[in-house]
Amino acid sequence: MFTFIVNRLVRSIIVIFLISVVTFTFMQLVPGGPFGSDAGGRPRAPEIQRRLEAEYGLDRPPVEQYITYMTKLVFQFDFGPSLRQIDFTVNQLLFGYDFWDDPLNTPVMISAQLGLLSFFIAVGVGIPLGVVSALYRNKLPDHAAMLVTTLGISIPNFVLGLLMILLFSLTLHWLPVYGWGDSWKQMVMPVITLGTGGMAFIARLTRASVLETLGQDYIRTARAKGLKERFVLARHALPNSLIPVITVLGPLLAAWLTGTFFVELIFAIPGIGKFFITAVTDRDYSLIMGTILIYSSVLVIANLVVDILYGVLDPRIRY
Amino acid sequence: MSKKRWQYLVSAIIMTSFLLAACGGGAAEPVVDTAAQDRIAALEAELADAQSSGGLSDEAIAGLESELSELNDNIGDLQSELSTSRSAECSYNAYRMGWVMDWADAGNIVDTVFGPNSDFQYTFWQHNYPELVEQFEALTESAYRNTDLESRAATWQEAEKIVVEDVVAVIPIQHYDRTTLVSTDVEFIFAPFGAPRLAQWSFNTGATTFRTAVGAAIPTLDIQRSTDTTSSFMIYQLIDAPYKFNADGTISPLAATSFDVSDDGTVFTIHLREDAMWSDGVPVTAQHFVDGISRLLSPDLANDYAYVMFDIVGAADYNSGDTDVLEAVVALDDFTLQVTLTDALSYFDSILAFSTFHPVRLDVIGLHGDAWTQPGNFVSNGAYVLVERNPGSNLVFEKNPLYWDAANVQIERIEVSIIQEPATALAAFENGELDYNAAGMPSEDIPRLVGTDEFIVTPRPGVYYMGLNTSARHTDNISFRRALASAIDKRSIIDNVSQTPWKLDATGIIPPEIFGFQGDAVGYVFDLDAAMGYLNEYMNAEGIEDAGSITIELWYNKGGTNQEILEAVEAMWESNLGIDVRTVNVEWATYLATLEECNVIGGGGF
Amino acid sequence: MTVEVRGEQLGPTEKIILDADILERPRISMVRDTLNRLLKNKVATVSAIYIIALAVAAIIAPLITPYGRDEPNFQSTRETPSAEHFFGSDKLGRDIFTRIIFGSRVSLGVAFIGSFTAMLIGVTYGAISGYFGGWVDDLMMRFVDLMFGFPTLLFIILMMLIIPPNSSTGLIMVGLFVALGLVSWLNVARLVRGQFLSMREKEFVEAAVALGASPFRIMSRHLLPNTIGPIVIWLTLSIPGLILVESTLSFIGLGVKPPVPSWGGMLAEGWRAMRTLPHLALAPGIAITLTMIAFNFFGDGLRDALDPMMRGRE
Repeated sequence: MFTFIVNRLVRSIIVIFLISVVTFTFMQLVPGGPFGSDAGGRPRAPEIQRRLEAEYGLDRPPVEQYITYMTKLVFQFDFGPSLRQIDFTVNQLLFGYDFWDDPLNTPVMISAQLGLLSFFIAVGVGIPLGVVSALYRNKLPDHAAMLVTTLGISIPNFVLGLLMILLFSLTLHWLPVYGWGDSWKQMVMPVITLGTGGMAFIARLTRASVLETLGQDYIRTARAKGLKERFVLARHALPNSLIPVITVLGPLLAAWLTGTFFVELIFAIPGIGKFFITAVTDRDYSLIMGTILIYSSVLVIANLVVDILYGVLDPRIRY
Repeated sequence: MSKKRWQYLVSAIIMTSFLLAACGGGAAEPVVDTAAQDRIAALEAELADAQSSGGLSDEAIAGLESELSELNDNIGDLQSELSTSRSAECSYNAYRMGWVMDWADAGNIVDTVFGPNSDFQYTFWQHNYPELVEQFEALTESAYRNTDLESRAATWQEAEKIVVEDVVAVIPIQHYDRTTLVSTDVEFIFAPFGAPRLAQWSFNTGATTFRTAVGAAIPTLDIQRSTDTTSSFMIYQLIDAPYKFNADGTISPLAATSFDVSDDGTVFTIHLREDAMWSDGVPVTAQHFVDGISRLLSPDLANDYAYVMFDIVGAADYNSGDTDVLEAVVALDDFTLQVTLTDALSYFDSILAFSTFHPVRLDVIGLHGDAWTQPGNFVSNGAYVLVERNPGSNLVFEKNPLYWDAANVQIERIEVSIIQEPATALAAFENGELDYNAAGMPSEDIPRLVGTDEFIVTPRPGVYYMGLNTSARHTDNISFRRALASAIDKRSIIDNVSQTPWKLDATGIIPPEIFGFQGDAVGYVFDLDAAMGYLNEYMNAEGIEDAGSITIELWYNKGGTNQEILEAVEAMWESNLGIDVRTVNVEWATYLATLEECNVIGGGGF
Repeated sequence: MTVEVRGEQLGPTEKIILDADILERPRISMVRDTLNRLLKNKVATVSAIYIIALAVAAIIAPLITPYGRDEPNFQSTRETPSAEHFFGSDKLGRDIFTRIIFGSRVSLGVAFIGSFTAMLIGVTYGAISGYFGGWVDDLMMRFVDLMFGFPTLLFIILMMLIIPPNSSTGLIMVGLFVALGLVSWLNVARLVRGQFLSMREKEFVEAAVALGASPFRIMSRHLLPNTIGPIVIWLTLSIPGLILVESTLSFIGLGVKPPVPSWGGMLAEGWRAMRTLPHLALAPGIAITLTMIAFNFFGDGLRDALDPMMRGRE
């Protein structure tokens, strides 16, 4: 077990290193640069652009830029200055002025809260929903769940977010439109918006998996032994049907994390997701790199956790 | 186990090398041989040296000269290769752009944007119409030196006519304005230039906490570096310029009490208020303003707005690093500031209210370094102090108790949220969470909001236009450009497509709020018959039988209302003229980079 | 012993086909059987008909639409649904029904071709990895792990920015296909690799090897046909996913370029108008949802049809 984890960690570091190379390559290939226009979007005189590029070292050869950047990152955990939000370093944008001062209110932790809360909601609602619709296959509860999950999958979260704002804020006046951290009311809509897609997906998967498990021989055997139906379900069917659900959670997280961009944008949540899209359109290279590396790290760690969990649930797997 | 590890290593190495190869391959571009350029410089120096000292034989000089010319030829070849390899990207016939004016002089649009030396236009008319360039430059020259408003405006009108009507380098579409949502509880003042000063605003309900939202992250509170509207909005609350803009575009004193202009119009003497204090208790002196201007022009900072002050004697040289001293900006005493201009400039007084005249505390910057714009460190001479700033999230300002006019400042606390999505900003405003929405609103909702008491339209001089590439196929012909200009029904776009009927359709580039505006006396109005006449003229001259065989490329950037407006333009050109229009719709950074690249290669090689 | 966790990850769809009784059936009768069972499932049949109708409509679009694709009418902009405009008209007065039909070309095209690209890459990759096993498999799966660590949408965004701005619509669509294909082949690769890994130990493969068949022949003739089921199911389920990704890309302005319509693009253009002109968002929204539902029902039906054992406890 220990060697397995160490092994995976070493591999994760290689993966993240490669991601940094790929990201850097892409940024070199994408046309335009961070200084093509001023912060208000007005075109910049080429002369001023040259000078700013020199100031930030962007006139150096790409390989040199990369090495300088990575050296600073690895040895000082310094993501460099933001090229467009010039008052801030990328570290400040991602981790706040002082992370340990108030960790829960830093951008990265706000994104984490949003992601985890919606994740728990999705799993907490999705799995029971899937089990119920499997048990009542082709009956009313199944069809109702099918309808909900199909809508959940097919409505993009930016549309769902606006619909929720129209309903809960502007019509019912129950919840505030935007923000995060001042009251629990601000959390309701973003969490549901982000959680719905994943919930629907998990419900679907659980349904299919439970159905498949119920058809297995060992379930038939268990029933034939005269075990109570409830016992068969709880002891044999459910744990086994959860295995495939757990395995997709890792890859699902990738979609999840990118979902936070849109939800943070719609509800004006000060997390790190909404930085990414503006960073890309602004060509804020160091901020792009910072957000991508954080997302990748989360993804890699999540995959690791999922694998460990998988081993716990499935005794056939040994490390 | 060791075997496994070996495999990881190999796989990692293979993948890294693969990716690095991709990286290297991608970054390679046709590059001008810098070694050759260095050699040329060395040779030239050697030649000059030899010629002046006469210490070298004639043959040696001839040898050097031939080597030099050969190298120059090589560089020329490489450069033309470079330009042909890039010219494929510069295939646009028309592009979209806009300009919001910084101060109230027609020159800030006619010459700053469309002049032959402008970096902000990509029409190449300056290369293709040398005689008109000469005329244009003579006009700008005389306009800049003319202090008589009337005849000055007339001169700008002539220059405008050259760009818009004679060359048809630009097709103006509509004039800008500022559309915002302000709660009916608020008494507000919007000036046509600069950002609103909330110190002049008040609640009619007696409330003292003002909540507003801006639509973009605030990149900087650095007084001299900021140029964008959101940053300026913040800085205008913190810092007072000598003067302020009034709602009618005139100026009135703020940090100053008055100013005098010398008889020849070149020396501005500004008398500062003697009771003003920074928020840390230090008196505001003329030296702080001198420091502000020097810092704006400093060669180390590459500030976008430095050009605004280039009319000050020696400013341009100081900015490019050619001189170390800026003698024309001096503090005569603690409360008297003197600025000397190269020419008499009648509009320079309105710059007194512009952000380029903001003072700065160099001692504070020295003390805190890069962190001087953070709350707690930032020192202001304006009505508010910065108390909180969370990047990407919000800012909080509180009233500055040391402000000289604190008694008249009614809003005690300002809470600014950053809301990037306009639909959210609108919803927050309608839900009563904001008093003033400076973050914009979806254009789709505008027809619903027009006519409500919260919907406020105030002037903001500027023009939304399309530039025409006078070097590209088809648009290199004046008749064809005239046809394009006459075939757009701007009124219909404004009324039916954008549904913003209060907006003014533009034929010229000088906005209606600016002295010199001449309505549709300049440029081309929508006229189908005329358009067809111009088109036929072009087709006859070129021997084109079928208008459908003419394909032009229309470039615009994504976002805002661009898509609906430019799609309408495309549809009108296609249906009215029968030509084929290809639209290229690009995201902003790529858009600018591509246009600029084309500007660098000079529009050649089409 | 180190068990490769990834390799053992078999989703429900993958396990179905492992049931030996399917493998033992003759192929022809399996197809016919499947079809028969599929046709008995009314919901799946209706879904299939809807999908086919949609595909036909996309192909013959100009014949059935009342207006031209980009035909503007500045006198009738932003109209609500009526007899002239079934789904209303947009800001330029273009007929939304017409644009929905034409939009299905892009949306379905992106989804189908994107999925097929992913399938081609994934099947080839997974097949090689699974068939050879050992260190080849190890190396290739390391790469898949690496790709799983990539935040995919971020890379699609960066990829879309690299396509030269004045490329033709066709090239941009191809770019979209490739971008989507490049990031969604991973699941297929794993699925196929898992199948191959377990099947190559089976007797019929050993027999083929003993008879001297080449690896290519074994893969294409023996292993692949037995993996078709799960691949087809994966395909039907990934298509609606890609329709959604296209709309997400349009939201950030990286989808197909206007005036070419796509459902995602129309949704991204119209969603802000939900309060004033709901039909702008509803029309593409309903089109997307219906298509998703159809593909889901069809996929479910196909799954059931392919595996009669999967009927649960009815």
